Amino acid sequence: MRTFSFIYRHVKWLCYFPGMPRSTRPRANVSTLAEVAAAAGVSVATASRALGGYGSVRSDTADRVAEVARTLRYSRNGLARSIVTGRTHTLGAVVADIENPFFASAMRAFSDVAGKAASQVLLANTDEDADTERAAVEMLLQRRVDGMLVVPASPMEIDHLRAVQSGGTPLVLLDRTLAGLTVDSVVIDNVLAGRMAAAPLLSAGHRRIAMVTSAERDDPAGPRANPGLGRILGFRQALRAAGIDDGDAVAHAVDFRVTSAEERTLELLSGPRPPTALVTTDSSMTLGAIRAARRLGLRVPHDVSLVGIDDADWMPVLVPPITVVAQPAAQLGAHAASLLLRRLAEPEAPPVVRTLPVTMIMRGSVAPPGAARPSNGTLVWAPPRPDVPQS
Amino acid sequence: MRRIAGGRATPTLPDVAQAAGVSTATAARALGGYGSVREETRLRVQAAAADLGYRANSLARSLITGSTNTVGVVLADIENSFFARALRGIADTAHTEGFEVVLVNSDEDLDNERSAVRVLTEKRVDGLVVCPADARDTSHLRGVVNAGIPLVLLDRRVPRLAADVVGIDNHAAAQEATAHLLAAGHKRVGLLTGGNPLLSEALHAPGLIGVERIAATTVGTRAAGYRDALKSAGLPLDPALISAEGFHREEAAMATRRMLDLPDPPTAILALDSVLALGVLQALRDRGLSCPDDVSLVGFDDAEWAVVASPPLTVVAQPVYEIGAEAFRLLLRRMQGGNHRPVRKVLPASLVVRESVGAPPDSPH
Repeated sequence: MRTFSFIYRHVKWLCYFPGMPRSTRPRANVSTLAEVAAAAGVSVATASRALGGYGSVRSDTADRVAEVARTLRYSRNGLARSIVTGRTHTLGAVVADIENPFFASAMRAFSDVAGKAASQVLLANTDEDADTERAAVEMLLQRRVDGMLVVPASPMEIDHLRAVQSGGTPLVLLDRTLAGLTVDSVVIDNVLAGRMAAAPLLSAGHRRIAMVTSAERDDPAGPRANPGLGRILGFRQALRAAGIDDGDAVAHAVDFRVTSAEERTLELLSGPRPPTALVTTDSSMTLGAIRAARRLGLRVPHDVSLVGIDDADWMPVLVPPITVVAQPAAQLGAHAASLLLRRLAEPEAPPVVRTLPVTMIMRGSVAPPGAARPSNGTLVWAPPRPDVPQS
Repeated sequence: MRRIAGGRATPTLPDVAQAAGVSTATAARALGGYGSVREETRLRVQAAAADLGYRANSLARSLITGSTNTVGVVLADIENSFFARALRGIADTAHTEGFEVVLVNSDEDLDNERSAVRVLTEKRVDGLVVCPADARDTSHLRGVVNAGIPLVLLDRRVPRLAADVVGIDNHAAAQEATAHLLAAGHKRVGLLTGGNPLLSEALHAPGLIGVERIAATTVGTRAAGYRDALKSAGLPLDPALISAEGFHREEAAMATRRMLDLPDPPTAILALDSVLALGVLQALRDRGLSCPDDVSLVGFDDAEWAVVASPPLTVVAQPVYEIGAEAFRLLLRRMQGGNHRPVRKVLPASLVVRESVGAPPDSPH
């Protein structure tokens, strides 16, 4: 207790030592603990104990101090407390693209679980750029986050993540694992997702199936670090198992944006031997592919069938509704948060890789190749089939 | 060294000083870039810091400088593409200016928002961008303003709160969207506000009089735009066609089904955000109804899927990214000490006409 109060006073002294530069803007209306103590007629130490809920204070004194603190609009200094307690009650999250519904949904669940444990989330967006990621991780470490979630942008540049781990800050990876970094991770089985996405198209009789992906063509990282590569691998496996030569079956968009997928699909579908079916590796790719088909006047599924990996809220509502291999985005985010919280409580627990199941949702975007167009040339408004989950 | 979780140790400034063979004060000056230190000493201290993996503690620095270079952002629903895009606008602009963003999702819940604002204030963020969730109580926002902490409201206004606000002209946008439906011949236009049921009373006031006074939400001003478009066309207002039944897609679908079951159902619907519009499309499909042959639809926010919806959706497009970016720029001026009167920044919205509006069907379906 003695040490504690000393540090606390020391911190306050740092704050208000005359001549030290204080805020660049006036916070004149923020009361200090000393003002609260003076107004309540107690010592600063007593006021501190009363508001902090530690040590012994008579209950009428505690009530009086609390009342004065309210009146004076005193707000505890979370920074000073953090220096004392060593906990900031802040978790960092470094994600690839917050506008992608997958990450939005995962982050929302991550924040919800963190919030229940009274932790706030500091969020950074990398746009899949390794330099941005390094800077974000550095910023979070400087802010002494209690732990951080990272969606690693590059499997090759991971020294900064090694440093997080060796510095003792709990780290969890979402969506991707890294060779050479044994750390808590929450992922899906991407190879399986790729295989599952091809299955309904193969069953419908398609032989010319192309995959549209934002994964780089020659990423040495391998499928563990790059979910796109895992999905490509599974997709190729499924094609080979069906006896299809898959030499040119994968089309790479230049990046993860909808417009990039749209351009790449446009090339593909207006090429010499267009595919009769498409598999897309995330919801942005799916939207880009649909936009390309629309621009060419092609209709899904009559002219081209489509299976997406990743569900999004608009997919069941399109005509036709889109058949997908759905990732449990919210559960992934929630699990990531609970793994971080667990590691805070049990720093020495062995790292775990948690693989959550994907789900095939059959909707209406798959038909046999060359399926007859409706005779009147317009789309039929059939009531949609209810979502049928199949494991 | 301070022992921390994991049994590993974080090197402290005294550790660096000891390794470099200088006093702690000298090490602090060398690493902080202030005061006078010999160049050779500075290099030695930096080398020692790098060897030990020493990292400046920005919390401690913040206590001294009073600035955390962090802004807090409290948004209603991060899964709604409007907020995700606005957040990107805020975060990109903030990073350019050397600020970080702390995000809290309020889920349109007043208690969540209150606790988020309290915690962010305790963490001494330099400023706050808030999209207020609820009209009933804004005392926590007044507390922020009274404490002299810069605050910018995104998208939604709170009357008599001395805070900057950025958004579109919601009244004009809703009026134009409604007028577009009326021009196609519709006389019964449903309005999905996405507001919670607590707003129902205000939204069911006779003739929607005074509806623009609903605070902390765009619902009121947009409903007023809807009202004035109908009034200009000499059409009556029907409370049964105005919904405040929640902001989730399922809730919007239920509200749509309720309206379709009315003895005199709407022939057109105005949905005040993209998630609500999805709910309308879903309900129409569940009923085997066609848009726009049976029911016309105008949405708010030009989501990326709007162009591939069936039919492609006519929407009020807001410059969402720019709204977020402008929110941060307004906040920055305040954080740099601006004591000017509260600014209300209005960015232009536009009606993007696609294919979801047609003439009303000849006979009731």
